[in-house]
Formats: sequence, C-alpha cells, structure tokens
Amino acid sequence: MKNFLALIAVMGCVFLAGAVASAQEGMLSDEEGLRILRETPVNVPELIEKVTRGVVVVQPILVEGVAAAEFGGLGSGFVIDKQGHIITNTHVAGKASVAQIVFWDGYSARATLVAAAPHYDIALLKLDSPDPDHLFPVPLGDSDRVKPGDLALAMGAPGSMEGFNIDRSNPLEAYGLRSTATMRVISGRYTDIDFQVIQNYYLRGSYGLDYAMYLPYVFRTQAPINPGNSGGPLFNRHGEVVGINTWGGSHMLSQQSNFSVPINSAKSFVVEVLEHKRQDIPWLGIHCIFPPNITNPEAFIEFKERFRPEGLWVYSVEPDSPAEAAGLRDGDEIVALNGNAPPTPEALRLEVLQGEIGVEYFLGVRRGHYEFTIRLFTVPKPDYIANFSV
Amino acid sequence: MWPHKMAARLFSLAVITAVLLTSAAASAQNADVSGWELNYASDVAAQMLKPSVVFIETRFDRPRNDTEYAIWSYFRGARPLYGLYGSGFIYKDPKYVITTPFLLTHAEYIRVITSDGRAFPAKIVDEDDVFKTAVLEVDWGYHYEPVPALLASSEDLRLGEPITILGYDTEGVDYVSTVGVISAIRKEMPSVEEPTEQYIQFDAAYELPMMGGPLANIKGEVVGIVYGTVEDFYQSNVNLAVPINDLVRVADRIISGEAKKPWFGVETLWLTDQIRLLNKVPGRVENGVFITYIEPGSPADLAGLLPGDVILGMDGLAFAYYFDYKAFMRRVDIGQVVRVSYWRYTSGVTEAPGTTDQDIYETVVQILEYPEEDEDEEGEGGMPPHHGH
Amino acid sequence: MSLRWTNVGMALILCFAVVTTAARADFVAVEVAEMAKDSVVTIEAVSLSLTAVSLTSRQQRIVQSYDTGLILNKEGYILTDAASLEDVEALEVTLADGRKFSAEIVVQDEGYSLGLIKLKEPPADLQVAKFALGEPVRQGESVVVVGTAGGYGHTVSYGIVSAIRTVRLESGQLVPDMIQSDVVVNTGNEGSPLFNANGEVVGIQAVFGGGSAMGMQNVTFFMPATLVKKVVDQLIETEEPAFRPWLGIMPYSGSFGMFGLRELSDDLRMYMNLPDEYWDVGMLIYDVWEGSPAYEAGLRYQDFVVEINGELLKSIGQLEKIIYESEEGDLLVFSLIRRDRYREVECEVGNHPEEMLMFYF
Repeated sequence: MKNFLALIAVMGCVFLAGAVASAQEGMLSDEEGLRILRETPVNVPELIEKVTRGVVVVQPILVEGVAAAEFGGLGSGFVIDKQGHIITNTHVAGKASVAQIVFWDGYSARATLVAAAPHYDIALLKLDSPDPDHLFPVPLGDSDRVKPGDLALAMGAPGSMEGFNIDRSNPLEAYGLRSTATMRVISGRYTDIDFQVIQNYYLRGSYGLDYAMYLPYVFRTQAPINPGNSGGPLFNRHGEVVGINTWGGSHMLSQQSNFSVPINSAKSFVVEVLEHKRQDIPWLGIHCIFPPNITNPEAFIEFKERFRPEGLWVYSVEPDSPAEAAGLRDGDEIVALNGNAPPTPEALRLEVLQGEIGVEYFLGVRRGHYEFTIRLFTVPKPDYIANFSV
Repeated sequence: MWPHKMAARLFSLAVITAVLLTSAAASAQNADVSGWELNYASDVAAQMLKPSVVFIETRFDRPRNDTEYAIWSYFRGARPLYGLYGSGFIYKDPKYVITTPFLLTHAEYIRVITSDGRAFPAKIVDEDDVFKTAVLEVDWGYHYEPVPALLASSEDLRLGEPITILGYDTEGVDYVSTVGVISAIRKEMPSVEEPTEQYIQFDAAYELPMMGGPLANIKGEVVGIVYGTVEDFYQSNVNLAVPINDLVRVADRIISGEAKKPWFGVETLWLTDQIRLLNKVPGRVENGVFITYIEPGSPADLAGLLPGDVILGMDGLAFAYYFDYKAFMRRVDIGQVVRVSYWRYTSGVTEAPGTTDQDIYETVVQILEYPEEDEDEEGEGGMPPHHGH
Repeated sequence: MSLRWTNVGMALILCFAVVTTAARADFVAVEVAEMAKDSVVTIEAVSLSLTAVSLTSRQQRIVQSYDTGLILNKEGYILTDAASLEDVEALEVTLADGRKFSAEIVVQDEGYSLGLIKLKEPPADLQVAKFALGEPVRQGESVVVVGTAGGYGHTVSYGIVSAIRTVRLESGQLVPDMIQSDVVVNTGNEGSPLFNANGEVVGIQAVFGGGSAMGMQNVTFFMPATLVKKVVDQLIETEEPAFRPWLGIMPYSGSFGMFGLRELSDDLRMYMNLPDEYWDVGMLIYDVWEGSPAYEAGLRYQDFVVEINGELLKSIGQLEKIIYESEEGDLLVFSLIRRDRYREVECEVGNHPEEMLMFYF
C-alpha cells in the first residue's frame, strides 16, 4: 500500500512539474486575450473548399453582343442566395445589362443586372436560369463586428490585365486567374474622408467612384488583390463574407493597402433594392465638414488643417433640406447631439450615414448669444445632390 | 497471492490512466493556445496594444517644401507641408512615448493622439539616430491614465516568427494593423544609411504613417519599432525595425539622463587593397580599420594614435569585419579604458623573419564624453554627427 | 506485493513525456525556416580580375550577382535558375553556416529556366533538400519561401497556395500544375524554393509576378516539385537541357489571337464538309515546323485533327496536356481529315528545339 501511495505521489509531482514547465512558455497575462484565444484554429484549405463554389468571375457583355473579355472588363463576384443573386462592383458590371458568369469549374451562365448603386460601387445581378449544381451561396457576415487584425481571405480572379494564359483554346481562360485565394488580415477601417476624397479625385476620377460621399467607411485590408479581384468577396475566418473587394491601393509608396466595401452596406442595398426597388441615403443637408465652395482636394486639406475651427460648425445649409426646414443657418454652432457633447464633423457624418431614414436627431444650437434645440429627421438624399453635405 | 497481484496491477493501471487523462486535458488546453498562434491573425495583438499605440503629429517652425518630405505631401495632397505625422507607443514608463527621430525633424510643436481621440502635447527628451529611437515626454494631464505597452525580449526572435505592426493612417483617425513574418535578422545591409547592431526585416505591409509604431509578436508584446522600408523595383515588403532590446537600452539611458555620447575621436575606413597599396600596409595585416583623421584633443589623440594607423583589434577582439569595429564602438561607455592594438608603418620592418610584427603596437585609450556642440538646424535630422565616433 | 521500479520508471517517463509534449507547436514559418535553412545556399557569381596595380598580386573579387540555390544531393549538385548563370566566370557558394565553396556550372536549361551547378569539393555534411513528391499541394495550404538575399543571410516569407493552374513559362513551356502563391518573394530573381509545413520543397519560383512595386500584388508562380525533380534528374544524368516534349504544330488562330476551337467558324466547318459527330470538336493545323516530329510524320497545313489516340479532341489544351505528359519516343495517333478523306497518322514525340517557338507545340 505504501508503495502505491509513493508511486501516486511521485507521479503527481511529475505531472505538476510538467504542467508548470509547459505553462511557463508564455501564457498571456491578459484575461481578454485568453478568452479570444479559445477560438478554433483556421484550416485554410477547408475554408476555401467550403466557399470556393460561391465565388464567380463576372464578365460584362456589351450591347453589341460580343463577349467583353477586354482589359479591365473582368471582375469577380459571389452568389448570395438560392435565387441566383450575385453581388459584384458597379465598376465591373454596371456598364452592361447582361454579364457572363464563370464558375469555379469553368461552367458559364448568363446573368442580368438587377440594380447598381454607383455611390457604393455595389451591383446586384441575377442568374437567368440558376443551375442547382452550380448554386452554392456564401454566408454573409456582420461587418460591424470586424476588428483590425481579423483574418481576411480574399477570393477572386486577379490578373484581368495580364495574359498569364493558360488554356489557349478557351477565351474564358484568357485573362484572370480564376479562383485565386489570398490571405492576410483586415488592417482596420478607413474613415478618413479627406484621403478618400483625394484618392478619388486624383486616382479614381475616371471610374467615378465617389463613395467617399456615401459610405460611412471602407475596410482597409492587407490581403493582396489586383485588377480583376473587384467585386469579389473578403471572407473572415468563419467563411462569412465581410467585405467586397473594390479597390487595390498598390503603388510605390504603399504595400498591400487595399479597400473593401463593408458587407452591411451591401446587405442594406440588396434588401432595399429587392423590396423597394430603390436605395436611399439618409441625409440632413448640413455642410459641416467643409464649406461647399471648396471643391479642390488641396483646398480642403488646407481648410481642415488651418482654418477649420474646433467644434461642430455649420458652414452652409442645403436648400429644401431637413436642416433648412428646422431653421439651421450658416454660422450656427452645434453644441449638442441628442443630449451629448457634439462629435467631430466626421463622426456626425458617420452617425447619420449608419442610421436609418427617418431617424430623429435633437441638435443643440448656439447662434450668437442664443442657445436652442432643434429637431430634425433624416430624409432620402436627393439624387441631384453630389456634395459632402451630411 | 494471485488475486492480490491482479488487483495491484489493475489499480496501478487505473492510476496511470487517470494521470494520462488529466495530462491530456492539460495538453488540450495548451493546444488551444497553440491553435491560435497558428492562425496568423493579429486581432489579439491589435486589441491588446490599441490603448498604447499613439498617433504623433508635429508642426514645423515654418511650412516646408523640402524634397525629403515630399512623400508626406503626396499623401496629404497639400502643399506646403506644415508638419509630419506618424505613430509611436507608450513606453513602460508611461510618462514617455517612443517613436522614431525622423518624424521629429524641424518640429516645433508635437502632439500625441491616443486611440480614443484625445490629444496631448509632448516634447522631445532626446533622440538616438543610430538606433532610430526618440523619446518624447507627454503631458497627460491629471485625468488620463496612459496604458504602457507590454515589452518582450527580442533575444529570442526567430526567423519566420509571425509579427504584427500597428499604427495609424494618414489622419490619425483609423487604427491600422498588418501582419507578416520576420523575414530576416541582420547585422548590416548596404542600402541602409546607418546600420544598427541588429535589425529586423519583416514582410508585413507597411505604410508611411506607421513609421515609429511598434512591431509586436502575435501575443501583443512589443519586440521592436518600425522605422522604414527599402524601396526597390524588384523587391517589395522589405521593411525594417529596430529590436526592442537595443531600443530599451537607448531609451533607458536617455530617460535617466545618461545619454551622453561616448567619444573616441577617429574617422576610419575599412582596409581595402587601394589603401593597403598607398600606405604600404603589408599583406600579413589582413583586416583592420584604417584611421583617416584624428580629432585634436580626443581620447585617440591623447593615446598617441595617428592618421595612417590601422586598428587591428580592441580589448583582445580582432576585427574581422568593419561591423565588428562599429559594434564595439557602439557598446563602449564613457570612462571605459580600452586597449587598442594597431599597426603603424615602421621603416626597417620587412617580411623577413625576426623583424615581422615589430610594427604592431598597443596603446590604451580612455573614452571620454562627447564635447557639447551646437544644434544643427538645417536638414541634418536623420544624419549622424559628422565627426566620427 | 512489490512494485518493480522499472514499472514505476516507465510510468514516470510516460507522464512527463505526455505533459511536456503538450507544449505548443510553433508557427509554420518558424519551423520551416529551421528545417529548410541548411539546404538553401547563397550563390555568388564572381568575376575575377587581377588588378594591375596590386603589388601583392591580390585578385580583386567583384561579385556580379547573388542568387539563391538549393542543395540537391550529397555530391554537391545545387539548383538555381538559368538566368543567374549567364556570363558568369566563377561561382562561389556560401552555406548556411558561412562556409564557402567554389562551384562550377553544369548545365543551363533555358526551357525550364533552371540551372544546375556543382560544388567542386563538397563537404561531407551537406544538408540535402527534400522534395515533396506525394500528394500535391492543396489550395490554401501554408507555404514558406526561404531564400537568400544579397549575401546577407536567409530571408523568410509566408503565404498560402492561391491556386493551382496551367501557366506558360517564359520559354513557352507549358506547366499544367503550376503553384500560384501570395508569398512575398524578395530575392528578386527566379529559383527561390517554396516549402510546405513539413519543410519539403513543393515548388521552385518560375515566373516573377511582382510585389506591389511592379503593379501586381503577390502573384508568384512556382514550378511543382514533381516537375522540377523530373527535370533535375535528367540534368544531373545527362548534363544537357531536359527533354521537352514537342511536335511542331501551330493550330489555326482565331480573331483574338487565340487558338480556339470556337474560332473555327461554322462556314469553315461547312466548307470542310465535316460529318456530324465532328461538328464541335477538332483542331485545324495552320502550320507545321519544318523538320519537326509532326513534319516527319506527314502532318501538313489544313489537316483537321479530330481524334488523338482514339479520343475526341475537344480543346487545344487537351492536346497540349497529352504532349506534356509524353515521354521521348512516345507515339501519338492523330485521326484527321484531309481533303474529305479520313486518315490516321502516327507521330513520334520529339524534343523541343533550342529556339523559342512560341506558337508551335
């Protein structure tokens, strides 16, 4: 009996020693970190197998009826439901009413353009006759919960401008490296409006991407994407789409700094379009970021860095807007928003854009010696307004 | 006897099984941790370090159009440039913020903006251009509690280790995290102006506003500071960081006020065939540091060294590479006494046996403190002092 | 009863072993770097010249270029890319531990863009790279590039396999299972080895897709290990460029410059009076290179090939693949239609000539 006890005691000590030895190798001290740690590790090949059948190549077909396998005319997309709806970018598919869709195995089918939101750079297509053997919609995630550093897997068909070709007998294989997967992380959000404006003005003007005006933010991702990836999905580690790869920011001075439209914007767009046949942007009509007379990017940087005063000021009020109706005037200072301290102008813009239409806002206003509160609701932004009014 | 033995054996088997199961449970716990590390995602590190990573904004004494800042102008779209911007992190002593000296050139006003958007004024304590470290002292006020970054040792960094770099974008609005691995741990690289003792090359995507930000391991512990990239047509993602061990040594010295530069007083070149030929250095002197200039009054001058001497080694360490000499010089302390072994041209010494090695001498040098010199205003921000070590 | 101390000892060892091996596995790039480093070497292409003024007759060593090499076997054969061996006077190889050895060029294979060199006096403890010849890599699998950069040691980069697809090398050689990866390759030249999580070579860099500076982010192609091994075995044995199966046929090219079956218009098919079963298959031969195996076999312009080895020819890619998989001397049976008559022609697979004939396969 004594021997047994001795044996157990010794084994117990050995076990403890081993446990302590392996535990010493750097346990996190932060409880929060440990909690996040317990997620299952990502098996990337399995993750790709799960989602690859929902990722497609989108080739817009021009009116003349000729397949447009031309430079830049190729993009990516993904299937979102069993009816055969496909999401891609407007700058990929928005110019044509019909597109050729190529699936992971080379099978191709036709799809029609349902709607395009150019200011979001999102377009919705629908397969004319979805084939059940090629209908594998991908789950959509929640882009609000995405944090900097989350795993990001981008899939699509880059190389639309290169001829790495491949099977010379198949024109569909001519351009674009179909079913390419790249993986890094989501670097963070990109809410910086000035830079979006500059980039838009200098680099993207020809595409007309003015989503800086409408999107609250885009994701910045390190996952390498190239022309041809546009419209393709950005997956998180669970295989849910959290972004639509829209724009590659690769130039000499930046490394893998690419942008994806958050999926929540796409979700609301799709819902609005399928239900109401139109999509509306919430709007108040206040120019609070910079005055409307500034149209030149350098001028607004200058204004923002040197002349813009602290606090939330109204530089101008759009005619026929909720702000005008509520009595807001140029030169007013907004001192409270819904009872809280006033946010920065950019934060107000984010708040309005991410809210619904018809949401009520109480603004505390100071005009000269007077302080009063006004109440206003967001309305749909009129199509003819193409400026940075909030 | 028989059943007793059986029972004994069964019992010991049961005990062993029990212990194995519990250790299996323990290993499963450990497996969770290991599984996360294999993810390559940096969300934990990004979250843990977020309160400690700050955005640094400076304002110049006057608007500037200098070409060395042209890149900042490109990103800003504004001319002229009013100041620079980049990243930094709160040091283990939370009164201080660490960043890289280039961001602080010509700065008249400096402010530090934390992840929650609050701005605080800061002033420069001191900078070290060799180790790309600058220490700022921040006035946090009475109500703010700065969160110091967790530091780890860079001794154990391994090739291929996953790392993340953190910083802010051009406006300081968005917190940015990119991920990569340690591509190389080097001692010298020709295209870097001033090589550090050891620097880390990594392939995480780097952008200009992330300069000065921390390089962290996947657990959220800082192992280095990001200071730049090497641009080349055929390469990409060749990004550089200074290891934390060097940084801490320098920062601690700066903070404790001991950051006086040690002074030796020579300007040197590595021994090449050309120098060898012109100065009649014999072939048996294979490697050495050729002295081209001795500063008057310097410790080298006082020890009797002359231009034309070739330093062969110090304190018993023979210099096989130029790097060895430079590394040694970076480690000396003020007041330290160093034995210097050198070659000097001595007539009458030939290759014949009996007379060789009579031109190898030894002397003793005491390292002094670098004498005070005027601040250089014009554009010498990133350059080391001109006068040798 | 008495307990054997051997039993106790074994139990103790077992417990300790179980508990401590529960220690963490490391990130794949760290482990691979550890395993692979010793088989990756730096090759310095040196030009030796005596400096006229050097009294000590020292040779001035000017390094022309640095390249990455992979140790193939104990005899000291090292794999690199063909371009780095152009106009090289002398080669020096630096191992991972710093030891230097001189090497000589064995052969340069332009077709596969590979070069083979050999250490003149290989040491006994060379670490040989292991090639992964079993299961092919899967899309999404972790891969690590271990290369050398400029003589300053090893560089490591991590990524995943982006895709496996058919790509054409610069020489025109088809590689059907080329590995596309998003690793960052910084050695600046071809020939860098790609390793899997087990430290085995799965690919050798073939086409430089570029980092962000060159416009395309992180698209690099690696020749699969099975192909490389096949080529390398031939290079070592014959010291001649490896066999590249070739016939010498240029098919009809349509409006997009593509050799498309779809490019064959319906009118053309009607003119040729094709029977129904061949309506949407087949390849029209546009030209046959003189002296090529196809020429010797008698294939000529306007032959309409409908079957290869008894199988209907549905795409050019199909024929290219068949050719790619052939060995020297294999016979391919072409069923074709020439002037309304059905014929069968046997063609022997030959070796690709030295010239780069882009449109003939």
